[in-house]
Amino acid sequence: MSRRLAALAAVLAMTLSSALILQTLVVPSLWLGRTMLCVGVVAVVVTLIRTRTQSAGLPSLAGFAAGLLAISAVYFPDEALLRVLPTPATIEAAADAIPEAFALMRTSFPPLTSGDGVAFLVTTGVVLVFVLAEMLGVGAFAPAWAGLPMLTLWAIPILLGAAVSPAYLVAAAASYVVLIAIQARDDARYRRRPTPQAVRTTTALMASALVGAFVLAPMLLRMPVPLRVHPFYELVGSSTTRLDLGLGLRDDLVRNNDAELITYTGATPAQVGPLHAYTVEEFTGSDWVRGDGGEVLTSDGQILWPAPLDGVALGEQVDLEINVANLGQDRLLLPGEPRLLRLPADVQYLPASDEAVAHIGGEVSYDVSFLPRTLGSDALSRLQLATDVDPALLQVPETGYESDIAELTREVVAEAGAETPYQQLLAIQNYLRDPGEFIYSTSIAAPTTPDAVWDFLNDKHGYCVQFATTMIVMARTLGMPARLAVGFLPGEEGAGGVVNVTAHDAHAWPQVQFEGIGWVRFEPTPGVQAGPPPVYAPETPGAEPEPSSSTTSSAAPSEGVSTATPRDSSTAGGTSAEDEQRRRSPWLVSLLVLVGLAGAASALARRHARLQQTDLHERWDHVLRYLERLGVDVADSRTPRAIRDEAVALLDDEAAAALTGLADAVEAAAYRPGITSRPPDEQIDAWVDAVVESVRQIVRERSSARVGV
Amino acid sequence: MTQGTPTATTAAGRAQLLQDNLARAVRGRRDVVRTAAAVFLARGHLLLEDVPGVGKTTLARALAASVEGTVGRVQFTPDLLPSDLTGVTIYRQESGTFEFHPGPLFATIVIGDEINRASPKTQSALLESMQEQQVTVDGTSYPLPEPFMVIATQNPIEMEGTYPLPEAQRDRFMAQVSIGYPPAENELELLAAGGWAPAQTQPVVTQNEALELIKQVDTVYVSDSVRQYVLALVRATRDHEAVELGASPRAGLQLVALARATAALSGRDYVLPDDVQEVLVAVLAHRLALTRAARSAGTAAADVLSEILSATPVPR
Repeated sequence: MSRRLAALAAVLAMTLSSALILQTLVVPSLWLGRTMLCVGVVAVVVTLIRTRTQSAGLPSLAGFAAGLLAISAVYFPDEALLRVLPTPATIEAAADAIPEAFALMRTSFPPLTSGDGVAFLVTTGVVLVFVLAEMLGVGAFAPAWAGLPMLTLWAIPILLGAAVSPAYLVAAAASYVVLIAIQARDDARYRRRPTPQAVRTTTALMASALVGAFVLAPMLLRMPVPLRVHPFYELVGSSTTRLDLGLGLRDDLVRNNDAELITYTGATPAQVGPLHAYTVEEFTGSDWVRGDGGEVLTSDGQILWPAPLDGVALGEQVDLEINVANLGQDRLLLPGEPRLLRLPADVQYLPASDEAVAHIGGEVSYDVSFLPRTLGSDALSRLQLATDVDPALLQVPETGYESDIAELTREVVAEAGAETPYQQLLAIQNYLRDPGEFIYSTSIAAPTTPDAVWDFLNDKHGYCVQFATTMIVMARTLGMPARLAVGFLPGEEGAGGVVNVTAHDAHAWPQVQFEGIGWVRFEPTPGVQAGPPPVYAPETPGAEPEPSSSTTSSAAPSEGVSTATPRDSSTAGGTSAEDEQRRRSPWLVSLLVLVGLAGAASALARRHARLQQTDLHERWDHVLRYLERLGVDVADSRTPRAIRDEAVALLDDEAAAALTGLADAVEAAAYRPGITSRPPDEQIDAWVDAVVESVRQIVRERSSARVGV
Repeated sequence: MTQGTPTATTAAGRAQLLQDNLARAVRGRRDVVRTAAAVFLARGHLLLEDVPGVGKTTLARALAASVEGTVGRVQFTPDLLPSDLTGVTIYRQESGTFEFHPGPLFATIVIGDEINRASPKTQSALLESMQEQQVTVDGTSYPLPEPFMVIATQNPIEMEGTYPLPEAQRDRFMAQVSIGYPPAENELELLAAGGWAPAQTQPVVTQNEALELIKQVDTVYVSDSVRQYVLALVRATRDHEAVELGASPRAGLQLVALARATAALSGRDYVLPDDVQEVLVAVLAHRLALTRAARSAGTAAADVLSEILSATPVPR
């Protein structure tokens, strides 16, 4: 029994150390405590029942039920009866949480920092893995198979390319090996030597597995998306602030680690807004091209802003102290509002691109003050766009699809009923922010047309560069001067009012030039990555999934060029049916899971029964090999009873009784009707040991007697 | 290892009483007595083949006396007619009807002494009634009583004027046993006593109890593995080089039936390979026709069977 408990502990350690790797995907504060609690409840229940029954599946099933209760109590106490017992409302709540969690995971960038639904999914998954691993590893005596559920936990972060700490791998693997060792300890005594054929088969299997690994792995990596594994993170040794978003729209985004790059004090992230480094105007249809500097303004103490500020009131001055750990490029990071920069030596300001060029490297600290413009939707609605602008800001790349993009833009704008430029821009921004339409993703599908923007409008997967560029091109088709700004999101406030900006925060966003106030930022990238849009450009209240999806389906560029038909084929009628299906699918999934579990349980029970029998026979064979040494005829044409009767006369009383018990058990297992209860393992082991010990002693006595003669 | 329901235990007790009663008649041959009792419980018929004067008839009479019921005894002679066994229909002048007078076959235990002395025609009348449990006279069928058992003896030495049973006919007997000479101490006892005490006049098993016991035997469990074992043994007799005619499927059936009865006698409600091994020679030896070469080499059917036994693995 202590062996079973040790095996159970090994399974628990294996599951928990495997679960810990999920913290690279979801921050642990969200789920770790609750998951530990639920798994702990399951472990206690399973242990209690396992110490009282020989059944393979019953403790696991009871543990699973206890786990469901714990999950219901931890995540949905308000819907549960007495805050513990699940009710139909609990299941409804769980059914609602799952699609929410999936939507969040689809549109966000790890590690997730919010979302109870995600935590619920993680906990349920870990509990399920623990129950399955325990059932296989302890209940069914198949410890090696217990690795399969564990692998499913590992597969998630590995396939997503997240960095996983080797410590957890070592801990999980060690627990796994311990589990196998514990469960195999007893069997090893009775195992026969492997036959040459078994050795050959194993060698052949190993060889083909190796060959397969070497041949298949590169092939798999060459497979197109979605089988291809794309790296979310790339570990970099240094934490140099080099902004390289890869301004080609065809490239996947390679993310840096979350090392701190920039810190600043003096204001909250919400006040500061994105810090921008540089801007680009010229777009080729698939790449942005950086121009050269142009006019240089070297100034001290004057407001740095590339446009007159006669159309807007300026707010109170905010002073920032910015520290860049390692400036690997020559652009300083500035707030996107009119600012006063006390320029260190060798810094130049380029008004055309709104960039501050510093010919310095390494750690840089500088002070910057900015005067936030008071921008509101009413004021912006009244404003006109700048007219006397660089023609590059209006240029739509000639790819053959510009008219399709223009038509789609007109439809989006018309659908929203937008009239003023500001309203039109808002319509475009919110069309792109609609989570029912576009999905944030760092991997980009292979091109299908020469126009990357048109591809994105069809594929609907991309990251900030795609979102921003698309908004710019769409705005330009309406004759609006727009460009791309590249920099960092405002970061997160840490202790002592210090705000940290990491490589995760690298970002790009569109700017549109308004008459009288200059460049105004819009935020088409979904909120999960870029946060909320600017206050002056809110997501319209009418942006709920239902109306917007019907809007976009009619606004989709379906009547475009034949080679580029968008795959959005959902109709208004299909939406409600889809909704219905979404409502029903959790039930269906639960049912399938239950059926699967029942099937697995019955298969396990059968396997368990068979295992018990083979096990008993292995022990009997083991005893026979010892009896043979006493000269007992153990030919396989002899029945257990006949062998027993012959051997009992040679053994002492205790061993004779043990042999009788063992022979009776073997006989009962083989010839008695139905599934008979057999003696417990401990009893059988004791019998085996008694007989073996007695035979050894008799053989010793005989040989010493011979020596004595 | 006595496991089973209380009824089974009582039944086992009854069967034990039956065996003990028989053992009083045939001392020193517990195994023969056990087989005879088992054949009775398995609804089979028993063939006793032995030299004269070892107690064949004594055993038969002891069994007949131990079970409540009627005993029919027929001394087979060459002029014995089938109707002497089955009975005859007589015309009653007073009533103007035909009336059936049952023959000695209408008994619980029928003892056929020296069955090989009767003509084949009479022999086959007996064997057919054994098989069908009924007698047909003048177109009318009369069922034989239940339980019904034929114990036939035959003498292998006096070959003159005998009609030995052909193999096909022997197949109808579930088992054949030889009593053989008693062990020396038993024989001495016998000489001192001037003959065994006659079997108890009072039967130890009533007819209903006997039927109950027989029904119990039918419920004894035979696992698939044991059935496979029986099949392997039976088929091995057909493939053996010393055997000209192997065991029939009926032999297999009767082997299982007798193994069941043996298990019941041991107080078990399931059959072990041990039971099969125990009754194998009794059930199969008289059915095997050995080749001429084997016979001239002095090989007996029992030798062939023990060879087969040691070559057939016991099922797990």
